[in-house]
Amino acid sequence: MSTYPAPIAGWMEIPAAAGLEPLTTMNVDSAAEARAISALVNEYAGTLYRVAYSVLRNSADAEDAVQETYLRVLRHRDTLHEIRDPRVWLVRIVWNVVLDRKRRSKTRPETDDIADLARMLPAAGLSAEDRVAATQHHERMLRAVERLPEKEQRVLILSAFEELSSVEIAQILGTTESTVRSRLFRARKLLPVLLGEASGKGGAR
Amino acid sequence: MTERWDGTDVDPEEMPRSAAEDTLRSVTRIAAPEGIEDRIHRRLAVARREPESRGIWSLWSPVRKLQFAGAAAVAIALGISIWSVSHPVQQVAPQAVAPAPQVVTPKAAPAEGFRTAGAERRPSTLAPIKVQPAAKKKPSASHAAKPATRPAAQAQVAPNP
Repeated sequence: MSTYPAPIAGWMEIPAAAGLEPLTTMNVDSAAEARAISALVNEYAGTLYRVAYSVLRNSADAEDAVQETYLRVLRHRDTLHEIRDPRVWLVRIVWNVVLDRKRRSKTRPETDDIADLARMLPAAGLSAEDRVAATQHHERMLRAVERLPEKEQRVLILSAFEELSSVEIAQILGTTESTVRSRLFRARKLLPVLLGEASGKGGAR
Repeated sequence: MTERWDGTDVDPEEMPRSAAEDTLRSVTRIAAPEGIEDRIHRRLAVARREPESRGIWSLWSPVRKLQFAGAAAVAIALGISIWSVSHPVQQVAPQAVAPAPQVVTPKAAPAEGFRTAGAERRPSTLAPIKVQPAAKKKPSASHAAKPATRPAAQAQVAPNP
């Protein structure tokens, strides 16, 4: 399936996508490589940050994850010319970095980052009361997403990015498109149940 | 349309998006912090300047040398302690009877050096110095004229009239 060298095949295994121009213009020359990486930073740093932030829910951690992603790119700059879709490739790298960090952070004491994130969400044009209500609503939704099974949760988070199609999500997660759609379906079926349980618990209190 | 795990043919794209997905969408719209690109460029520039360490020779840096030396010292100390436990040193058992103290007589003194010339020290307790008793003085007249020193005793002895 992979057309890439074995050492990096595990984390950049991306099938050729139709209509995407391969980055064949990138030379092996180091100056050209530097320019290419610089262009990747300027173009995709924001997207990668948002992907990292949606999982880590912490600005500093998300930025660290993005920096680590570009350091990995720098380490494997010799293979840049083989990348067909740099956006998906970079999102896949940052996704793996983020999951590694998430796994490691499980050993740290739990912090209520959902509440912090709900407060961060845009609520422009709302009154103070509406803003509080919106924050509570977002917090409830995020807690329901948090309770989803891991695979369904990941698909749902990635599907929230409008720029990512289900094919691209499949490439990022290293699975097939039908699996992605199936997981998305299950996630959408489960969410109302989880939200109902959450509201039932809230009412019981 | 794809066949679902539960046999239904529902396209997930056709399912209504839940409010949770709207929340997730608003999370994805959070803007990246200012200057993130510059910080990444700086980090990459620093990473490019760092000397690349390749292969096993990267282990032979000065810091690694110190680490190896420390590890070797710990390993040697551990080996010695294990060896000393498994091969205990045979200690000489102390003698049951203490040796008698050596008596040195004056005649056994060495031929060279100072000699006692046959002199022996005899403690004064063995040959006490005889002291003459002091001569007793006769009581003088003034002593005789003095009254008895025990009037209370005399009072008890004296009969009641």
